[in-house]
Amino acid sequence: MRKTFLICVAVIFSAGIFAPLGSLFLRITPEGFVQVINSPQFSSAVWNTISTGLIATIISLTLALAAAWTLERTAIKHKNFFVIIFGVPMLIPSISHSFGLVALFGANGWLTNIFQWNFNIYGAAGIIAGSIMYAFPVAFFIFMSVLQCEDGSPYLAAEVLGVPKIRQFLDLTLPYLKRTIISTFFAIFSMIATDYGVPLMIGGKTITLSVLMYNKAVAMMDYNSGSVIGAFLIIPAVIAFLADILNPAQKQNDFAKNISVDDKYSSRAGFIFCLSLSALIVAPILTFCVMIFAAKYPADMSFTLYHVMRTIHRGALDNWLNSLIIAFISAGVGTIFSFALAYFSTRTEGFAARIIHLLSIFPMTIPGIALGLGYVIFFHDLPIYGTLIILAAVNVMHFFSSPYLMMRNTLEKISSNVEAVGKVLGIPRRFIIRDIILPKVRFTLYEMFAYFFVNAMMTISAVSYLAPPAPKPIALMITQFEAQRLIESAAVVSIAILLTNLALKIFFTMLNRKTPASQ
Amino acid sequence: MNLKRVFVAAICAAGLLISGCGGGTDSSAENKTVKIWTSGEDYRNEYYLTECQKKFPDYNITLEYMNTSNIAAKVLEEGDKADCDIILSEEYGYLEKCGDNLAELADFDFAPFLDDIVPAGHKYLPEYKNSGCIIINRAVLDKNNLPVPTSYQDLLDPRYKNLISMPSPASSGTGYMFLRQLVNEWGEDAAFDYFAKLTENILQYTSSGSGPVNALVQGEVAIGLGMTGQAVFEINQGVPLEIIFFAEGSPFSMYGNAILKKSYDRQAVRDVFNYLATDLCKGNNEKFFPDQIFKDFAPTIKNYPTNIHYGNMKNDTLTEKERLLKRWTFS
Amino acid sequence: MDIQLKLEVKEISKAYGNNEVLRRVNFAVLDGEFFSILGSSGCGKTTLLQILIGLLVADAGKIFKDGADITTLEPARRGMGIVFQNYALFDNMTVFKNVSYALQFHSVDNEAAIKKAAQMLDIVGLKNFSAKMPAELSGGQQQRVAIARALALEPDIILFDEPLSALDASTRLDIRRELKNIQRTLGTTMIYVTHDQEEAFALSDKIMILNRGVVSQIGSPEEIISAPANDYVKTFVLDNLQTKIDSLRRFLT
Repeated sequence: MRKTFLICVAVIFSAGIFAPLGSLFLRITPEGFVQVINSPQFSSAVWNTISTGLIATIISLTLALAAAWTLERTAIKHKNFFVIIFGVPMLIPSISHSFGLVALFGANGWLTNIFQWNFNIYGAAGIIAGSIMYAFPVAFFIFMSVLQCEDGSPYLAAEVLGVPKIRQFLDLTLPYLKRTIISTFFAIFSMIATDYGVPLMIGGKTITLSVLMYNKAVAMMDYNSGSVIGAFLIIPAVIAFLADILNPAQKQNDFAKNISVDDKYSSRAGFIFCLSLSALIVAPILTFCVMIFAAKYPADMSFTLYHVMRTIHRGALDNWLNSLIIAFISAGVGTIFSFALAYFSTRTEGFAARIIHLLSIFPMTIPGIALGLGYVIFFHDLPIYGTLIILAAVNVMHFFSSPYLMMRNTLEKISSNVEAVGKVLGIPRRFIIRDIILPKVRFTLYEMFAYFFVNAMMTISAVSYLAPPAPKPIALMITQFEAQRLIESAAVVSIAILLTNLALKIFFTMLNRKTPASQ
Repeated sequence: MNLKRVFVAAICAAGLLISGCGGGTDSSAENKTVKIWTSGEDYRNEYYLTECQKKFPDYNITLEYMNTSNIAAKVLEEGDKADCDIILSEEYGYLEKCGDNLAELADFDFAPFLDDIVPAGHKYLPEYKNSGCIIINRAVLDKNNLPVPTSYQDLLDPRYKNLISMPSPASSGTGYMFLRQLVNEWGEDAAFDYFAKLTENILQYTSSGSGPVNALVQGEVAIGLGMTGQAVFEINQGVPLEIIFFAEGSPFSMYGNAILKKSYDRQAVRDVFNYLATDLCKGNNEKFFPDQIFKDFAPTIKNYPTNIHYGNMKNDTLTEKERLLKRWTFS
Repeated sequence: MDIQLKLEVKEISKAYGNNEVLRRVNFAVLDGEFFSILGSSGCGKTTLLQILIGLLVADAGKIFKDGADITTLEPARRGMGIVFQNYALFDNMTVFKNVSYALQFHSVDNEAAIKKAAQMLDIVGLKNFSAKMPAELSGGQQQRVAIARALALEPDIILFDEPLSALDASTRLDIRRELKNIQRTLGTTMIYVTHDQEEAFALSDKIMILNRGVVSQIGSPEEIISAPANDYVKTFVLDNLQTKIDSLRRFLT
């Protein structure tokens, strides 16, 4: 049983990660390598990637920390409202953010017209702004969850000793967050650097490595140059990965005391800050909602269904259905697979468990745009090429690590004596899993399912190589509309994806409410 | 239990849907499916698809957009496995490149077309002559207090910075024809020097040829190097764009239609192709791209420029194109 | 051989890498005896317990139960039960289900299982708590559920891994009393791992003192008090007990 399981895992990881990645590296020839890195576009792309990526990362982290701290540590009103709003950008593709920015701040944007601005959002400024919109929520939720877990007792002690709040933040909170800040910094940088959605739409002539790779490998199907750039794009992710495993998490204190609401003070500045952030986040989406029903945004705002109908006629409905199927398969298979690996790595002993853990967090290091190219090269002549199966498979492998870690976290909190009791009482392991473990981790399973689903619904990276022309995942229509600069249709598709993901989230929220927690 | 039911239901539903969608094993359905890849503009695709579906209600016809180089690359990579029967609106150069995968159109009539646009191997039928022009959005120019440019040199004026849009020659045939023409007119070095400077003023090289006109429609730029046909279409929709020409004249390139070798013997494919290549080709000529391609048919379109002075487009071959694009590093 | 010998442990050794946790441990437990394994944390007592029940495999040595070699037998087939310090209850099941759940895997029919669980809950004094969820119970009550769960399979030996250390003082006394009662009514042999000298001396028929994986002394409480085998037993066990007695004496006189 154990052996069969390990063999299956080995086969899945070999076919799903290592073989495609190997094919990508094997595609690199010395001449191709020299040619790519000597081209003038390459060096400027490296510089653009690093500079915009660093600035966007620093700003995202600062905003996210400020927002998370305000929501967690002050008695702010409407906390749940802000948490929901801050999560919304995670439900639309990255490229939609830059469409939103163009709709607001472009030469003919809504705000540009109102305020008669005369500046240019295209280029580095646009990339940075779009990347912040894309990365902020991720960093925000990381900081939120870490702040939630912080032990309150040192603050009580500090309060009693009369330490001012600002010193409490500098001397207690920041040191506590140090590790999280470091690993989040690398993770966010790599997330921004490997995303091509934002810079493709709004980068203007500022071409980043990911856009260069997209132009070469997806638009022009020059896989040789693409492989070289793909190999470079793996670097930031590998650094993030190493930063994470070389910087192990501190052990949770069992006696941690929640930080009580009584100690919190309310701050008008904090409220205004969160409100402005929310406005910035909601503005593009609201603009989309207006734009899709306006005859010719922003000049002629009379109501019409023309853009919606035209987008549907372009195949949006078929593609949406197709995405839905892919998302359900990815989420179903992905959830089962990541549960199995998390269970194995946390609840069995020995070498195999540690190897499984490393394998499971490894996919984090591979940008989708590189993984997808590896898949094209490796799977090209196999019968599953061009089918839904391969799209679902690449999604499962690409998004696997986060749900795995979610489940691992949950399982680590369940006493390992449960299995020992099962052994002594003669309860077969599958019954222990079915009757005791699964009911306990139900909410985490929902969360994992939603994570796979939402990401499969909005990804444009790996699938951009693998999708057949029709029907394709609906998110890929946005890159096509980017090429044609069809902003209204892109807005229709973005809103469709947002609504689909929202519907799923609401469904799970209701499910959670209906069945009370067993823990 | 609840959880298990949700997952089982989700997976069963997914499974059913896949088998439903992939259920192309039914041979009659397979025979009536016609898949078209096109690099055409959105509104023309709409026209072709609607008309085909009207004419052949029993057929399952799908039409999918990809850029010109992508279609060729995919056909070459995938060969007989390509999920496509008909290639529509593809540039001559690329069609030539895919020649080995295309059927010789022995059963179709080349006679009505002008002799000088009929390809030698008869692997593809002419569809239209795409000509380019300079398009302006006067409102945006006025907003920035800028004059209407009168020459390519004018476009280098720093006041036009970030107000010009052009398709990338690397991914768009329209983009390439501007490059080709200026190379022919001025010599290669002078042309590349020019684009190096023009890049300063360009907001973004779009990957599709239809990008600049759409950007003009949205008021994102003031000047576009784009397709005359698309600009006229938008003008006739009521969008206040204007078409101008510079002294060098209008660049142009030829586009055609083809059938993949593996699909040539299927009746449904032939029916659809024949309709596309005759009636709809005329319709396209009449509605969108009136540059003359038929010997005895010279349509006019409201607001379409007449007496176009075509530029020098010699050496418009694929090898030349690939050589020039190696030198192109601006997008 | 003594007819009353229940469990015999011979030459058990266990090491993790270079770290020798148990060295040649030998002892015997009589039928119906309350046998404590006493030692400070890290002395190897929990490892020994896991080897006895079969959750860990010893590097060397043998275990006999009722004269039969059970060294390599699966945990569930040893006829032993176990109660952990953190209870390890199935907290998504009711108290009743916690006790009855395992019976289905031992070809006990439904009706008998219900009867059995009710009987066990009665023994530990939780008859009226059958429908509650574990989270609704106090720590002491949860530990009683764990005991009932272990008893339901009618093991002839029950192992306890520091079962009372998470509980408050008065609850400890209650459960101590109850354990003695159960031992007397059911005649179950009990092997009790603890670091608490007072607990061991109060409950046990026999105590084994373990120090760094080596047995220091085995004997009845009286034997150990009257003749401590070495300095460790003297300082760790007896001096500690003396301190407690002294501190109480102040109030009693």
